[in-house]
Amino acid sequence: MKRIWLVWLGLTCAGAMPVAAQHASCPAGEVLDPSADIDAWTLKHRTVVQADFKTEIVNEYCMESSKILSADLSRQDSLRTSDSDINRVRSAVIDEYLDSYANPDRVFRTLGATLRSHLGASGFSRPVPRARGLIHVEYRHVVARVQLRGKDYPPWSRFILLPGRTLFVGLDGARRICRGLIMVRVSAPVKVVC
Amino acid sequence: MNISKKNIFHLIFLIFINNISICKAQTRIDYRWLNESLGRVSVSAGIFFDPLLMNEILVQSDNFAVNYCPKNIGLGETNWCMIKLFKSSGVDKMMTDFMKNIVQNRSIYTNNNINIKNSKYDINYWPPLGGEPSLVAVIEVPESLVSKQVSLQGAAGPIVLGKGARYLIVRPGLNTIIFGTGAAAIHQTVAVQARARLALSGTADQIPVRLGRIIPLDLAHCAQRPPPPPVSDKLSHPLYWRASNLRKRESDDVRLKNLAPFATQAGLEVSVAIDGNGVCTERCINGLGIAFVRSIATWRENCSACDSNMFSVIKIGPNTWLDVRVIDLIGQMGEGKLSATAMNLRPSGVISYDQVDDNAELIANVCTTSSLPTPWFAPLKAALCTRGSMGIGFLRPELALRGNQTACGEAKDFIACGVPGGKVEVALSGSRFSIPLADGSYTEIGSSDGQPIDLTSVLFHEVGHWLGVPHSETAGKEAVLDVMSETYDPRRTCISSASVIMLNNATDRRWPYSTKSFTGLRRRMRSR
Ligand SMILES: [Zn+2]
Repeated sequence: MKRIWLVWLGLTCAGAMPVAAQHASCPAGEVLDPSADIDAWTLKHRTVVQADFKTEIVNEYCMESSKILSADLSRQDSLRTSDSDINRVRSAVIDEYLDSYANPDRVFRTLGATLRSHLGASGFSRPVPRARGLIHVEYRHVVARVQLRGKDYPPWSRFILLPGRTLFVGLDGARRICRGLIMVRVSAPVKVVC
Repeated sequence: MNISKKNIFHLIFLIFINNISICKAQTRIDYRWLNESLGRVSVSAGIFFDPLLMNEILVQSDNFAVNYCPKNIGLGETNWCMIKLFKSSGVDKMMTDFMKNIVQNRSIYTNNNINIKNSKYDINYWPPLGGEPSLVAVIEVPESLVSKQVSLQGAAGPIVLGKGARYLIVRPGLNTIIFGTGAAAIHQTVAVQARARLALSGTADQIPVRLGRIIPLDLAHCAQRPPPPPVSDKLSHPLYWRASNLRKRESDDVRLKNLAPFATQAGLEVSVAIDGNGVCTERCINGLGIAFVRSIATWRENCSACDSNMFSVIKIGPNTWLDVRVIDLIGQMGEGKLSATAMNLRPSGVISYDQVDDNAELIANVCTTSSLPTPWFAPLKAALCTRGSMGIGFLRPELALRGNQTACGEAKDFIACGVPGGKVEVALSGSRFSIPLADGSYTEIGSSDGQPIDLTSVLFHEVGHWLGVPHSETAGKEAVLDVMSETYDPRRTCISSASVIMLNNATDRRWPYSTKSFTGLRRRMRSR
């Protein structure tokens, strides 16, 4: 018997991170772009981060960095930092952000709060609802390939996805072993057995 | 206070917990035994308790059990008491003693003089020095009501406890107790403090404890779910043992010399700055004071390494609160009964405060006295007589209510921000903050459609930083998350044993992990 575990992560879409404007450019160009850190995290944790979520994180990171770098320095207490500081903390920020996103037991904070805290801001962060769901797939056998929403993915066990209906197909080698329509929810965790 | 003996006590406690002693086979009671025994003992002794306290009672009775047998255990010796106890024949007797100790407000940890050598563990502050009385409140049932069915008013209706109750063990705060059933039932609402014992009169609707009194936060300690005991392996993290380790080998003189300045500061003055008119009215400012004083009382109650006069006078904005024992001492002074030797406060497990701005007699007594040989008198006089700034103190924090922007960033990211100099900024945008009032009700500030946030918890967190307690996450990914977590979590507004230890460690200025002199922001120049 193969099992699919469906774990919900979000509370409500309201208050979710806004999708940044199309390709907000990173202030110092590609050097601040956290794409490589996101890829490293997904590889290390064998977790698929949906493409639009990745874009959203990159845009958000660039937007927040840009805000920090252009802060009004006349304010005595403003966060003073440089692009090299922002690059220094980049992978730690992405790791913490995605780790907490994928852990439903922990409260979750914005990327902006995570970045600023790593730069030294000693704030008490606001908890924010997650907008996405996490699917955890458990296989008994080695799986060669997974299809979600008609797209092929490497056979990893975790997926961070937008809520909604998703067609899941797990393939064991060349043989189809599992198939089902999954509802990625924003209410209670759902367990799917197939 | 015999510190070294207590160290040994904690060592043995940890050793039992960590199952590395020679008594390995019989170190822990099975929780099922305790649970069953609790049911039997509760009925036979007539001591009933709020079912929501079950976890707390089980954990505490387990601690009690570990120290129950008052015998020396040398390495290689056999402790027959323990063997008997843990083989269950003694469990009911032990549980009866445990319940009786709670009812009599005695320490729920028994004395012991056990010697165990060569432990790598050394934690001074769990349980707090001086033994740990229970954190619950005890209510004595009048003779006339013992035969009636007793229930507690819960959120979802009455919780029936049974008949034959002589004592009720309840959570501190407001409790409604119902005797009997139907229309003839007697409802009694009582406000009780942790560790207090109270006898009911049997008549309806009494409130024996004055509600305006500020007491430490209810259920401030994080519930420890069985089976993990209050001390786990995680507490061997350097954050948790460094300072206690330092103190162990040194005299009281050296220890006192290294006390952080805040730990000996008798008066605390918090100034309040508000952006915009009408954001926080007089009533709201008074409520901010209550939230602060509650937070301070809770930290103070847990700081066994702090001076016992610390923060006994608190001024927040225009309002002054005093440790109730100071009020009592001033009263004795007015009656000419006060002796100079009895003026310093003693360590106490319950810290409560009363607001004194309208207490004309007390103010007159203080203002006609030139000086008293106690650290709380100078700040008291400054607060009540000159009505200006206390003008003293290492720690002089400021609370600022802001709109959308704090020094940490926007309100969407941070609900509050600690900045250099002990200032705390609270961002009102996007949050609906509840503020406690003196009559037990609440008022709200911030945006009416914002995220609901308990302002007391936010101030509880910030006061923790003033006292040097770092964020929980500083201890790494396995850290115990509580009110000191870096993100506000309405499920975790309690204080964990880890934070209690860090608080006590932070009173030693050599402890390297304390939040440093309020340097909330790492200051850096832009390099481009
Ligand atoms: Zn903080």
